[in-house]
Amino acid sequence: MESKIDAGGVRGRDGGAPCWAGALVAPVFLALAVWFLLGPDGIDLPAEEPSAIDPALLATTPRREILGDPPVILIDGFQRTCMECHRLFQPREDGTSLQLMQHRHIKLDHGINDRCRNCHHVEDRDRLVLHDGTVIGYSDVVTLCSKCHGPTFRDWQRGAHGRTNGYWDASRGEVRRLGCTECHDPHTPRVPALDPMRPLPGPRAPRMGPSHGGRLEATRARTGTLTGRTRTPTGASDDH
Amino acid sequence: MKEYARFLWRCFRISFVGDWRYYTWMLVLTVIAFLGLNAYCKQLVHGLVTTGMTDQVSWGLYIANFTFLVGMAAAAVMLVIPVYIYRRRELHHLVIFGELLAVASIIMCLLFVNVDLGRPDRFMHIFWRFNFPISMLTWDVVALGGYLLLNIHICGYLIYCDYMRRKPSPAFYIPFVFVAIAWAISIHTVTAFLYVGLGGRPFWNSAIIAPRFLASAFAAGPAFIILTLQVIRKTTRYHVPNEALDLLRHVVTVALTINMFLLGCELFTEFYSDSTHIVSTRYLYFGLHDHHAAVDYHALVPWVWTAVAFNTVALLVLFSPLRRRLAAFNVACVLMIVGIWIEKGMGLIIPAFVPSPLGEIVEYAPTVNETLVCLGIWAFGLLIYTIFVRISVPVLSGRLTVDREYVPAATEEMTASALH
Amino acid sequence: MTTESGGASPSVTRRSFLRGTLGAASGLAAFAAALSPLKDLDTEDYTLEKFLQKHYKEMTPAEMDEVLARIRSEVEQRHGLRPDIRDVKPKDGVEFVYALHLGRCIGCRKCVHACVEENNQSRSPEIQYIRVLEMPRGSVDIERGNHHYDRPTVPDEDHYYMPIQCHQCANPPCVKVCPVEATWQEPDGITVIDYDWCIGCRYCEAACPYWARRFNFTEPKYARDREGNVIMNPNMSYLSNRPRKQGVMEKCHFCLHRTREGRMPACLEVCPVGARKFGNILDPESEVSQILRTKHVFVLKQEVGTLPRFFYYFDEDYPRSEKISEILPSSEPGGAR
Repeated sequence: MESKIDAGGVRGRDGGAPCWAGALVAPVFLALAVWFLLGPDGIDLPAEEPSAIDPALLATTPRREILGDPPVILIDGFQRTCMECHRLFQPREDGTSLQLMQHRHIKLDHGINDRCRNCHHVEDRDRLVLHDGTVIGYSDVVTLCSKCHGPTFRDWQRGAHGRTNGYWDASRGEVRRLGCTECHDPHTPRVPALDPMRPLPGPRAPRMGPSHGGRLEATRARTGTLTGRTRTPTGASDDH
Repeated sequence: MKEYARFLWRCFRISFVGDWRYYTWMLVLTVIAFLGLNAYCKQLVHGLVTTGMTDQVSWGLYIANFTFLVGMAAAAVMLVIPVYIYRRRELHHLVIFGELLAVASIIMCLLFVNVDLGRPDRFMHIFWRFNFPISMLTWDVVALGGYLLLNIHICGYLIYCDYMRRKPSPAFYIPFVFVAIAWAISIHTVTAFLYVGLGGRPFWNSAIIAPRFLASAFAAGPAFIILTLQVIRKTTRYHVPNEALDLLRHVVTVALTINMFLLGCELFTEFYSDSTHIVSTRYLYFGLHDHHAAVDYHALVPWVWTAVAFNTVALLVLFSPLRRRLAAFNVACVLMIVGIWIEKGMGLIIPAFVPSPLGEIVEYAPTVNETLVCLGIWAFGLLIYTIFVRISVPVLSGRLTVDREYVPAATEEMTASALH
Repeated sequence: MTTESGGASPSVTRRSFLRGTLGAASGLAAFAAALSPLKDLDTEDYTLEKFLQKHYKEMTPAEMDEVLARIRSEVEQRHGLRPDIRDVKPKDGVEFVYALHLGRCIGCRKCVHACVEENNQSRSPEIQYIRVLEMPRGSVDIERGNHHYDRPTVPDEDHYYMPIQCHQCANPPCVKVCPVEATWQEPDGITVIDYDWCIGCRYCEAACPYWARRFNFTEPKYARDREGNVIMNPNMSYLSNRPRKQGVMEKCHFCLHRTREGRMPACLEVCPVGARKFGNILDPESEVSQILRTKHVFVLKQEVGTLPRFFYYFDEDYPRSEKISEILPSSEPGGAR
């Protein structure tokens, strides 16, 4: 049956669209196509420049370079062993220490251990001395420390104190336990082990929220950097 | 087979038949769907950074919508139970609309899951190594996939039988219907278990989540069907009996009451015990204060209280004499749908991520791109549901059948009156 | 479009036919235009080879060699660096455990950045596997930790510092929830991810109670040095620090390309105060075994039942509460505390 009745545009006919609504279809779609192809991007992308921390801050070398055995140090531009100078003058009998002419950088702040000869051998300055008079070399300094710092030494032996670099598996490489003096200056043991330092940058995600320097939305790429934070390559923060 | 192909062709043809309101509706939906598609393409290129999600809040609007829509799909069964178990046969056509809603909802769910994936091109990995039965996501895949097939079969079979003017054979659909009833409960339970099984998120690790899911689903789903049926009433000559709306009103009233009661249970449990585990609940209802940064976080507070208000008002309307007035009842339905959408989306997914398991507070706000993708999927879902209804109404009222051409109801009436 | 009966007037038919075709054509044009952003898609990620690549556990050694060769040439092409990439297998009789001395950590975050260097994380946005919390003294409540501290110097005397990374739990929730088995636990205790298998659903990220897993929300970007060479660690393995792609998960893997060859992980080697301890718990004489035997260790969120392999301990508090001025000695020997 033919159906030609078009009841005032309310009901359409079979197989056909009503006049004006149908005429809208093509222009709307074409406008949409143009919008997709030529319109703005409309997305927020994180725009921070990728940066790396200064490798010097991430070095895995020990914090202190230790002396050799026997130690050799620089005095007035020359490399000297201890006895080269110390054989020239006798130790004082009353046990006090001379005002230091050399070694001025040494500050003795080792708690109640306030006498040089508690550790240093009086006659042989190339050696160290234990509590009972036993003479040991500089390479055995850990034994010397252990005489007073027993529990710490026990922890060090277990691995609970101090750092182990290199390998955990001795069968495949060197298990490099750092010795006491590789973190602790023997004269001021708090240094550099307990040195405060500047912390490296914390979390740097783009949507951490307004309280942490980032916005809830990442800024658009054209503005360059995220609001609020700039990072120099050394890792220090410029703000704050 | 040839007949079936012709049936499909006629379905395709009839999708383009309609008046100006139909065309405007479909055009708007198509435009939004295209906008969503475009936004999704941008997301494919740049990654999920185009959304507002972060490592702290790693699920957002996509999963929120997914959760809500699984509930809608499950709610189709709320029509099936009265018709088949309580034998209200006169309403059995309504089952089709409910199940078609289920099909559209599941398709939307699958789309929402897909757009949330970081590598959707690797979706087939789920077939090669399927961590079943340990991962709840695998249960969800089985449940949703099975439910989709079940409903496609039931609807397809019943509609095709009506189109072919033959009586559907009970063996081909009755058992499936009963399976679908049980399956509907299970899809939403399984989805709830996705969240419940995570011990590291105390906000989710609660037994009440699954019952609340079902209660809110059985409120929002039938509410949506109530509104759809009235649209069908207004725009076609299909007869929607008032008994259907009454039945659904009863379903919705009971479901919403249970939902509000369970909400009360949750609130009491959380706030009375007041342990550190409730920090997410506190964030949701009252906001949190960060001492280190001296900042207040309360983005979700207006949303959740709006949801509570909407649901309460809807419940009050459903218990008052106003419920018999269609306008007030419709308002209650809309309030309910919106309130439950907020509850399941903002109120369930997001707070579990705030604060993070390490106590960090990062709030979430969807980006424009993310919102466009969501709107696009909703538009697509409404589009296919409209097409489903556009096909099924003429078939069920006998005007689109194998042995006659399609004649719009208005034309038929006018021709009939012209002959007299 | 013609009517079903086929007998409409010709002018109307032509008009509606034209309108229909125009509508369909413009619709298709809009559809194609909607897809236009895809022209910027990095198609290198979507080759047939990668599509057919098997799960790590199913690859034969020959297939793995092919994949490694492909990765080698890809990295060289993209970044200008020829990596030494291999598939490092676990050793028998090894189960890794990490211990962290909370009395030592000063919160310098060197471990965080050593890890970023070692494992080729994206720099923008920057992915950091380790998160250091500044905790107030007297509390182990993680909620009270500050993630974003930025003081002129650390440590602060009223706080202690707790770094958190993947604990390689013995009962891992992330492994439980992955739908495609892209993450699993290896015999030596490390929970690994096959980056070429992960679908990016982020269920594992939601499941982890320690927030240890990270997602690549976009393509990782690497830093370059002043000469323009990419800053990348060429010593890579398939399951650990090879460059990842957009859309996949990643996390701490105890530097398995180092630790499975007997070396210490990068975070441990850089720690200036020796707060980190690592080793084989199956060896009774290892550092970690001794620590677990003798120190008062605890784990985070024990009630969640994940059985972490990451233990925290304090022993005696070393003198940090003194003000910094007291550290600098006066000239007086035998100075009082």
